[in-house]
Amino acid sequence: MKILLGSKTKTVGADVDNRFGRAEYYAIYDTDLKEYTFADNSAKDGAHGAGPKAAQIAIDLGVDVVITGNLGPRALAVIENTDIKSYRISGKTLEENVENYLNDKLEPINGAGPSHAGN
Amino acid sequence: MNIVFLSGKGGTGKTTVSTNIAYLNGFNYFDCDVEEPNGHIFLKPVINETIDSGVLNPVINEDKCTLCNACVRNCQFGALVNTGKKIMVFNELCHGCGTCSLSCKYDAITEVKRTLGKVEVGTYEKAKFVRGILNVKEPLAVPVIKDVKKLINKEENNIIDSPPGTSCTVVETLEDMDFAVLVTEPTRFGLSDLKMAVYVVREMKIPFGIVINRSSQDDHIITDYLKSENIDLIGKIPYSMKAARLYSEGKMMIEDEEFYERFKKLSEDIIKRVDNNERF
Ligand code: SF4
Ligand code: SF4
Repeated sequence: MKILLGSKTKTVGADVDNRFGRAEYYAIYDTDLKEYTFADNSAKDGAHGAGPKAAQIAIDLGVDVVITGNLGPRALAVIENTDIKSYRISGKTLEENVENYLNDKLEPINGAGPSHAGN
Repeated sequence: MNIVFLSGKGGTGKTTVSTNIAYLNGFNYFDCDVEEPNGHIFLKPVINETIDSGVLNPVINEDKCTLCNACVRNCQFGALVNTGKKIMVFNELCHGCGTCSLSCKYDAITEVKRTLGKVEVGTYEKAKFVRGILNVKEPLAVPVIKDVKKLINKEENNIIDSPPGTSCTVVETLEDMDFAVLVTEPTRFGLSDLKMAVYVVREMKIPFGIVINRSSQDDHIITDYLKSENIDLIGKIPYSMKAARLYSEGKMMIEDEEFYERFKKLSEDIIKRVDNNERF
């Protein structure tokens, strides 16, 4: 399974970037390989519509989960039309967030109910 | 001849200056400040014609669409997203360029007109008056500005009122202009907005000069900068209670004798520069 997070730099120890469309870079964590890869964010410099473009990047990268500070209405509309699940950032670094996600500690953004953590 | 008036932000009196110069010379007036057009308040035109302004948005026929992705790849505005199950269209991002329907080999795209605003065409005194009006809450202004600019005849003398700021609406307005008048005021905010406007006109290689509106003892805030950058100061309009009153009553400044003389001089100084196509 692949997780996409906004990332301030292209290094494993990086802090998360809580912007979705305008994140500096994207980090993709592969839970099977337990490995990070990094991608540029070609959406971030456009004047308008960074959200949907970034959602397209997430789709094209084939991720299953997006962890971000917030999704704008357009990006959310796209994500809701896919099988991608989105969660709100909790923690400073990439690793803390991945850790929190794997321990069911993140709040879903597009999920119907509150956190699935308690069940 | 196209002379554009712009300012880094709203409220510098850009329209006061542009309408008075237009009126004084009997030049055509085109209001491209489509989110807040207010030249009509001063020029009091008679409108003869109203044209619907809009864009053609794609509509995807899901039965025909093979998700080949050609349209998404070719859309420069990020208005299309391929979710893997369907193509989503974001109308408010779509500029109606038609590229997507041209790139679809499966005849899956039809186009439907979406109205963004309107263009009013009329006259004031003996000159042309045209203004674009963007619908409230509509984010896409560029197509309306394009529709206003289609009515410009470059052989005639035209004053164009630009939207404030430095966004794509300003860049669209500046296209094909012969000279730009940057209207500013002597405050710190005025200066920082002016710097951005200067950057844009320089990028677009348009000859330009500065008018300081509400000129006061603080003018040095602007003039120090102009000197250091070797930028041409065309003239100044002083701040006065009289000016403020005329403005609030929707009257032309040139109805006042003193301002008439000032604007006459300012007009001459602007036109001289346009004629010489001087670059400073
Ligand atoms: S008309 Fe142009 S801007 Fe609109 S969706 Fe098609 S390609 Fe994109
Ligand atoms: S180009 Fe046509 S067939 Fe291909 S994805 Fe777009 S609408 Fe569908």
